[in-house]
Amino acid sequence: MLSSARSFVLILLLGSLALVASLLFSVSVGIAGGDLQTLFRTLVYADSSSDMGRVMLEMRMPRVLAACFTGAAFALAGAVMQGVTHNPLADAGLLGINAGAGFLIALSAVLLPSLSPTGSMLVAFLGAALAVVMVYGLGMGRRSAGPIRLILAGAGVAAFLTALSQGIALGFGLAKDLSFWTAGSLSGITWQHLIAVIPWIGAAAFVSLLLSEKLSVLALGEESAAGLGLNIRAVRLVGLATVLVLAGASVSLVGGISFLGLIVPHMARLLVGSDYRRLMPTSALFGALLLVLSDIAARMIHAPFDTPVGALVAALGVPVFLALTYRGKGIDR
Amino acid sequence: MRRRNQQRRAFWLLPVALAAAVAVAINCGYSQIPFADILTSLLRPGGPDASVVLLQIRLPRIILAVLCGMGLALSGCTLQAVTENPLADPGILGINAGAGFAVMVFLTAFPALHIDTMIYQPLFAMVGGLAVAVFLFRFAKRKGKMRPGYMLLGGIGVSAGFSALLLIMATDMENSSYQLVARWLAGNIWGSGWQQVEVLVFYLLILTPLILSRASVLDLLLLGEDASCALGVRVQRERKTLLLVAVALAASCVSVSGGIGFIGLVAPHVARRIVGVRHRLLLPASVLTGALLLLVADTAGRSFFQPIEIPVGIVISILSAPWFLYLLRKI
Repeated sequence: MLSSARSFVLILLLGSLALVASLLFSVSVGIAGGDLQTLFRTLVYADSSSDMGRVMLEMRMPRVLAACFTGAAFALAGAVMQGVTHNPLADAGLLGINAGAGFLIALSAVLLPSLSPTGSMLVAFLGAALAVVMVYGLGMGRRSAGPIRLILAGAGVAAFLTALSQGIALGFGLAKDLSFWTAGSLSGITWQHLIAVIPWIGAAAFVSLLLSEKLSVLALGEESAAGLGLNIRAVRLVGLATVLVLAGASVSLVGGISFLGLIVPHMARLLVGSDYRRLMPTSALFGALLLVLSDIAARMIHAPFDTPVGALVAALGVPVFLALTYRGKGIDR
Repeated sequence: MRRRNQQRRAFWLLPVALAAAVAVAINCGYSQIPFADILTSLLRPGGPDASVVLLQIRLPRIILAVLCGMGLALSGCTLQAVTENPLADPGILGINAGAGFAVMVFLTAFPALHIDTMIYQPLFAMVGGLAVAVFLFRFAKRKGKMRPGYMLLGGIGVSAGFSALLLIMATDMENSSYQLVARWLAGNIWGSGWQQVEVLVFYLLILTPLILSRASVLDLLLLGEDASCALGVRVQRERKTLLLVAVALAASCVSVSGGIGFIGLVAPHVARRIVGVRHRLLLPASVLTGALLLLVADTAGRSFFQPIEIPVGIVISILSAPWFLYLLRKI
C-alpha cells in the first residue's frame, strides 16, 4: 500500500514537472521565435516592452494556459462520466456533449452577437445539457441504454448538432473555421476570455475531485454502493452537473475536442489503478499535459500553419477507442 | 396483390418528383435565368443564345448531385442487406472517410496524374474504402459472428480517425486547399465540371448493373445465412461480391462529391416505406429517392443563404441525422 502510495506521489510529481516544462517550452517557442531567456526576463522583470515579450505574454500565454485548463477539464469530464455511467467509452465528444455546447454557442453568436464570454459560456452549459437529454432520451429506447447504444446515439446527435452549427456558421458568416466545431482551435484566445472561463473550470474540477471517493464506491456496482449508504441519484446529478460545466466551459473557449476524455482516464488507470481518488488528479494532470504537448505539435507540424489540435488528439485517440471497443470489456451489456 | 399494385403505382411518383426537382434546381441560383433562355440553351447548347452559367456550371452540378445521390443510396441499400444492419451507411461506416483520405493521398503523392486523368481518382478512393470495409468485417467478428453494433462503433472510430488525418494533412497546403478539405469533410459537391460527370457516369454504368442484377440474392440474404444457404445461395461469395461493389460505388461518388453521410441510410428507408422490402423494386426506388434527396438538399444549400453556399453534406446531416436517431430508438 505504502509503495503504491509512493508511486502515486511520484507519478504526480513527474507529471507536474513535465507539465511545467512543456508550458515553459510552449510559451518560449513559436513561428516568431523566442527563447527561454526572453521568457524569464519578461516574466521576472515585467519587461513587456520588447516585441518578443509581448508576443509571449499576449498571444502565446493565453493559448498555452487555455490548452492546459481545457485539457484537464476534458479529461476530468471523461473520467467523471466513465465513473457515473459505468461506460468505459464515455467522452464528452463521443456522447455529443461538445456538439451540443457548440451548437448553442453558434446560435447565440447569431442571435445575441454582443454576448460576453461568460454569457456564451452559460449558453454552452445549456447546450451541453440539451445534448445529454437528447442522447439519453434517444439512447434509452425501449431497453436500457448500454454503452453501444449510447455511443451510437451520441454519434447521431453529434452529427446533427455539428451540422447545424456549421450551417449556421457558414450561413451567417461567423468568423470561425469550419473545423472549429469538430476539431477545436486554440488560436486567437484572449486573456479576457480565458479569465472568464478559468474559475468555472476550477470550481467544477474541485467538485469532481470531492466526488472521487463516491465514484470509487459507485464502481463497486450499484447494489453494493446503495448498501454502503451512497445516495446514487445525488452522485449522478452532481457528476452530470460537473461534466456539463467542464465540457461547456472548455468548448466555449477552444471548441469541441473529442477523445481526450476517453484516452486520458484509461492511460491514468494504467499508471495508478482504478481508484478514483488517484485516478481523478492523475487524469486532470495528464489531460493538461497531453493537450499542451498536442498544441506544441499542432503548431510545429506544418508551421507557419496551425493544425486543428483536436485532429491530433483524435489521431491519438481513435486507436485507443478501437482497441477498447475490440476488447469489448464492459461494453457488451 | 392489391398492395403490390399500389406499391408499384407509388413507385412512379418518384421519377415524377425527381423531374420536378430538376426543373426547380435549374431555376435556382445566384443569377436568375429566364425560362425561355433555359429552353433555348437546353435545346440548342451550341447556339448563340445559350447560357454559359446554365450549361457549364449549373447543369453539371445538378447531374452530379443526382448521380451521387443514386450511387450513395444504392450503396447504402446494399450495405444494409449485406451486413444485416439497418443502420449501415457508407458515411457512418467510415467508408467515405477512408475513400476521401485515399483521394487526398493520391492528390498529394501523384500530382501529375490527376490533372488530365481524373479517371484514376475513384480507383484510389475504392482502395481506401475497401481497406476500411475489410477492417470493419474483421473488427466486428465475435466468435465467428458479425456483430452489427461493433461494426457501427468501429465505423464511427475509423471515420473520426480518417477525418482527423485529412485535417492534419490539409494544413500543410496553402489556405485555399485547406478550405477545400474542410469543405470536403462537410460534404460539398466538389467538382462541378462535365469532366467529373463523365468519370462518375463511367463508373456508375459499370457498377450499378452488378447490384441491380442481384436483387433476388439480396432478398435471400435478408432471410439469414442458414436459410439462404439452404436455398442455394453461395452466401459468403455473394456477400463479398455485393460488399465490394457497394464500397466501390460509394467510393467513386465520394471522390467527386464530398463526404456526404446519412444519404445511404435514409434513402433506402424512405424507399422501403414507399415500395416495400422486395429488392427488385426497392433498389430502383432507393436510387431515385437518393437522387431526389441529394438534389433537393444541394439546391436548398445553395439558394437559402445566397451568395453563400452551405455544403450539401451539412444540409443532408441536418435532415437525416434525426432519422438515424429515430431508427436507433426503434431497434
